[in-house]
Amino acid sequence: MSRPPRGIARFDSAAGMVQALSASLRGERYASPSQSPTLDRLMPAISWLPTRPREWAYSIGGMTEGIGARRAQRLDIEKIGEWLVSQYPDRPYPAVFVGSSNGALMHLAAAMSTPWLPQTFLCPVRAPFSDPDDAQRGFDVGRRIADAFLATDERIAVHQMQDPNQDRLMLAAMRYFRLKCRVLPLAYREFLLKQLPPGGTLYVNVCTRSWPVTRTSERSVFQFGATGGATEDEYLEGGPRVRDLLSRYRSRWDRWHPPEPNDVAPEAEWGFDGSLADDLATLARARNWRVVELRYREPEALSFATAAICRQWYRDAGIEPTRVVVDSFLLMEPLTTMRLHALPFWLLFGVEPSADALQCFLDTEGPFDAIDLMLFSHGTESIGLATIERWRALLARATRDGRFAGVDERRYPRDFATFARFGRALARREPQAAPPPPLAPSRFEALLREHGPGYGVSCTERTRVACDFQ
Amino acid sequence: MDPHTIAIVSGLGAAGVAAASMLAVAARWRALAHTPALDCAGRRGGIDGFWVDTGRYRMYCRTHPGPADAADRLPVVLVHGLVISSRYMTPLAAVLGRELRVYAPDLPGFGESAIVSGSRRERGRALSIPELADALHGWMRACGIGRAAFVGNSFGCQVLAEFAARFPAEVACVVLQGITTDPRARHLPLLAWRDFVNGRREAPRSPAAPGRIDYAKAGLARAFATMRVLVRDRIEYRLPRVSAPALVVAGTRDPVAPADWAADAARRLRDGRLLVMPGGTHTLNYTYPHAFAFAILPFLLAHTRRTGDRHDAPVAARQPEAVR
Repeated sequence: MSRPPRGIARFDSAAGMVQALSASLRGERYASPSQSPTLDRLMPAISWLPTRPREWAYSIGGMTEGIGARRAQRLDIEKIGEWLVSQYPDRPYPAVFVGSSNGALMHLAAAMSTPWLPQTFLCPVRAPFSDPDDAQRGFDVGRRIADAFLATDERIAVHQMQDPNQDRLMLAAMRYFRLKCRVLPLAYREFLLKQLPPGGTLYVNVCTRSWPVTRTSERSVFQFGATGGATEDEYLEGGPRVRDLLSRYRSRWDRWHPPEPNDVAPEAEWGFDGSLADDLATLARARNWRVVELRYREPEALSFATAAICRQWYRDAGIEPTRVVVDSFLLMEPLTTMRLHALPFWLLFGVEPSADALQCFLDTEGPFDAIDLMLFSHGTESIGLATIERWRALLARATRDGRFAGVDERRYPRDFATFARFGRALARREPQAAPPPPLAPSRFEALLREHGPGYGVSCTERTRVACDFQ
Repeated sequence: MDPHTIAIVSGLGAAGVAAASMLAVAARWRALAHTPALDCAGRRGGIDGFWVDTGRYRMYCRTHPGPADAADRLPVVLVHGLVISSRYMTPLAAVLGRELRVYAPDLPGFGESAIVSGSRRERGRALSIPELADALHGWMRACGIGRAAFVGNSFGCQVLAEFAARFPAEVACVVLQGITTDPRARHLPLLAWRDFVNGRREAPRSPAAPGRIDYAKAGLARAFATMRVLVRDRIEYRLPRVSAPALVVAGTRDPVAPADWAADAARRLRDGRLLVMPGGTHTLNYTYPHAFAFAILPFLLAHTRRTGDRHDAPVAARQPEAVR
């Protein structure tokens, strides 16, 4: 496994998820999103720093993942695509997933032993000493950078994203640009043509989550806020929770003043840009691939469906799952989850709506003997963040053993060393055994058609109809 | 120890290290020059090889037999680029071989092919583009291939343009990918820089590894002499003489043969068309063989149907005695 090239952040959901899945396909554990043993050794020391220096370390560490603004005009998405496909073992696959990022999907793909090619990846651009709450300045400065990205490659759409609620530490040192492939990068095309034989299945993962945006060109938008703990109205209109957040962080603002939204676009991180569909359909027709679309609105909807499918997959192998492993954002370990014969349940973030989703899952699918919970730390007491007490209460729903996996409860949500601990912590759980045989695509589709509609997830074969992923 | 002695010992030490390094490089170079023609990956891809004597040249050719019904169509001949040999055509040959019979000869002086007649000086000199086109023609006759589709990369496009202009009856169609030489870059240092940039863009799929083998086999003298041939050639004046259907393929990330030059080249051809591959680099045959084959196969299949013409006789009926 190699470090990603410049232009894609290691803390990006797509980069993390590809590494987690590819490790599983290689029969390895995913234990280090940083891919740096040195950084992983430093993490515990950083944890011992006082709060403010720890936050600075997080911001500066994040900033080192970014590129300079001038480098935006030289971004090479093929290098990024090349790195992403190079993570997977070089062998034919009966099916390949393409499209929206989703942690639950990684478990499905791992169970099927198939790769996933992300449509969206994060390219952070360094911007030290920025005010995360100054939406207008973020928009004005970001627009020039977005134009530079657009000029490098006509195959991408640029979604600038500014979320001062959940990304405020990072936004003090960088700007977020999520790049969506509207056409397959050549590296993806080569991978598909080489590894997916005629008759294979192309699963298109379509998350229809959208967000109000300010459109700056046909291929670029500015998105203020993001899916998580705060509502769209709070980002755009303010409110008591916003005032409280800004006051706690001693901001000079009492609400945010983003540019007026004039359009609705696929959500920057999770949403699917339908422009990719034409390219996929053309390629699929020529290669005689089946195209099957997975469609849902809320990213966590797929978590419910995935757990139901995995439960049946274990039962097919004569295993009754009594354990659940709860992922958080990019903290996930598909291989160990399968070895524990545990149901995976992926949460978008450590926020109240995600905690509600877990509670709903435990209410309807529980009880479980054991629950293992990872918690991603983003360093901010953000609006809608679920408290550690709420997570403890959810863990207490386990009948035998409910534990955090690699979480320092005292330091959450500034427990940055969890990135280096979660994999090892999960690997120590017992008992572990060989995963069941890979889930066959036909069985997967049958199970998804059976369990998906109950959670708002549809599964439609698109081979002989015009593709419409909008 | 006095300073004078220290200087002598240091000098001797440095000279020793330099000599050892040079010996190691020479040994490595020699080992590269003796690399077998076919590797395991090629054999796994169904690639085989054979030599034919054409009189002045003894030429090696990598080949893929194609599918069972390959004789129903004309074969496709892959023509390699500068100094490198058909070794780097192996990935493309393996993919095209699913649909067509494929030949990938090493031009004389490169890879496994050698100039076998004439004085030592004559055998060592670099061949001109017309001579390389003649060699290709002689090789086709020796193999009994009357007519074929052709795919060239880089310098191979220059050889193919000459070949197609002089032997139109033998050319069913031609694909020119990474066509050199861009008239705005007719300078060796500039081309070297563009090639360096291309190499960085193609990493980690770069054909540098087979390239090193072929440079060692060709020798540096022939390599530099052929580079001069490449730079001096004015392909833009030859393209209008090509009458066969031609597809010019350009990669948007190819700094050696930029897309606007490729478009200009396509316009100069009598029956030329342009295909732009977004994200493509200079050696698509090696870096993205599946995507490249996928892009050009409709063109090749449209022009390789046998018509019953005397040039179209199936190759197997007139296969010469090949030396394995």
